[in-house]
Amino acid sequence: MSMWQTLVHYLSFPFVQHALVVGVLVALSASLLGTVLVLRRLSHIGDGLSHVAFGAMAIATVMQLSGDMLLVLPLTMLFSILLLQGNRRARGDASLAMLSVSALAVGYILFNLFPPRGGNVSGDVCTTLFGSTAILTLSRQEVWLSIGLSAVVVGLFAVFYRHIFAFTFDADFCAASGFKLRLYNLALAVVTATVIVLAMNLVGSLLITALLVFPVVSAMRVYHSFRAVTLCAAVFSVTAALLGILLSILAGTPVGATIVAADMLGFILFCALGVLKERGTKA
Amino acid sequence: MTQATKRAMLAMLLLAALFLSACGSPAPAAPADPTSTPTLSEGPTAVPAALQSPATAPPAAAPADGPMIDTTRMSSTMAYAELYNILVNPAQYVGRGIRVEGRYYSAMTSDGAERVHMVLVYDSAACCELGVEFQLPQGMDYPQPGETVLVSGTFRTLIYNGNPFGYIEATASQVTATAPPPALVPIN
Repeated sequence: MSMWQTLVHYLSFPFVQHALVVGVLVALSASLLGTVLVLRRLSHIGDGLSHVAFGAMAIATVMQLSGDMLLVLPLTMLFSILLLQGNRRARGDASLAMLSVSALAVGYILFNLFPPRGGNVSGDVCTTLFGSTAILTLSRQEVWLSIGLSAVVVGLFAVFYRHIFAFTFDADFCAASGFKLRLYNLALAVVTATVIVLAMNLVGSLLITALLVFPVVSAMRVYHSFRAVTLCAAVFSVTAALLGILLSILAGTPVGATIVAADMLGFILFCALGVLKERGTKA
Repeated sequence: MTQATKRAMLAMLLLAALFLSACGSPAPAAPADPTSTPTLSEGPTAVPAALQSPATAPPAAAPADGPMIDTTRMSSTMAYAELYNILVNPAQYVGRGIRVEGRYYSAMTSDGAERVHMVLVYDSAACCELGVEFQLPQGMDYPQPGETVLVSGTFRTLIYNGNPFGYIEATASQVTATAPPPALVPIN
């Protein structure tokens, strides 16, 4: 069977179709959020919050909650609000670092002290941290939930694009112009937490920052306007997610790592394009 | 669009996000977590006797529509994901032909009444494993522990605590690789 025939055969499986739909939407949401976070120099917050989400998932597993989203999403939102809107001490990079490693350590200890039914601690931890096949094993409810939340995130960006532009580049000007700065910070915190929790299924906790940062930084190598960077990052992220998922199911590699590898290669390509564009401009 | 309208839309979108977050997926009520080896007497808990006896299995369902599920022709990522989905939704695959290759593993149930035979399948990173039970016809020998085995047969289900639990009613098993040597050699 040729590679094309194999791919067509794989695409007939419902769980592959679900993975592609959810993967594309999550990658799109992450790239839009990443544009704001990178330009506001908050790139590291994705990493910290993903570790908090891991810790929350461990607590949900210990408490044997029927759906871990009931605890993971609100808890991640809480810490996101604290980190983005809290006092100066709470918002410092040292605070974020301590919170990040503490959540990871506590989560792992909880998994070991109170293993999930079946006892496959290393498998559960590995899947949550690296997202090896999580995107291919989503239940129908998880698929619809991911689609719904991603649609809300994309809708927010579409409706409030101009406000997001102003808020990203000059928050003080926004406050002086009468914008409700606290409300926008709150919305950013909620959206960040939502995208982080969604992206854990795609690439795992440890690799989420790649989804937020690579598309934006790559786009900035070639384009210099906010609109162009946002659109380019969105296309880049969706393309990398699609390529990553398809390559991983063909080659038998972990899905999350393959998507990040595709992001990395895309970044290198865009760096080269940026250099060529600069030389062309100078010439 | 007025400020009040935008505020209302933002509030509605945020409320929708929070509302959707409450729509968590209930954990499947399957007797065993498909991402782990089944609970056996050598592990934390044992597989109940009801799962072991073919006599407790419901009458064989009419063959399901669909081609044979041949995981040996899939990448490790696809094979793991397909088997995971089969074990989580076993009722949809009853009666279909199936071929699985993996490491053979067996253990006694906690009451010592029967031996459970599994084929373990790993994902691409080899950090997650699935255990699929299989039963050979009377008189056929099972492989040695640790050997890589190719199992062919029909997918069936047992009912345990009101939930379907999948297994392979094997017609053939073939050893494709012997067990690896022990990592440490005992010093006499």
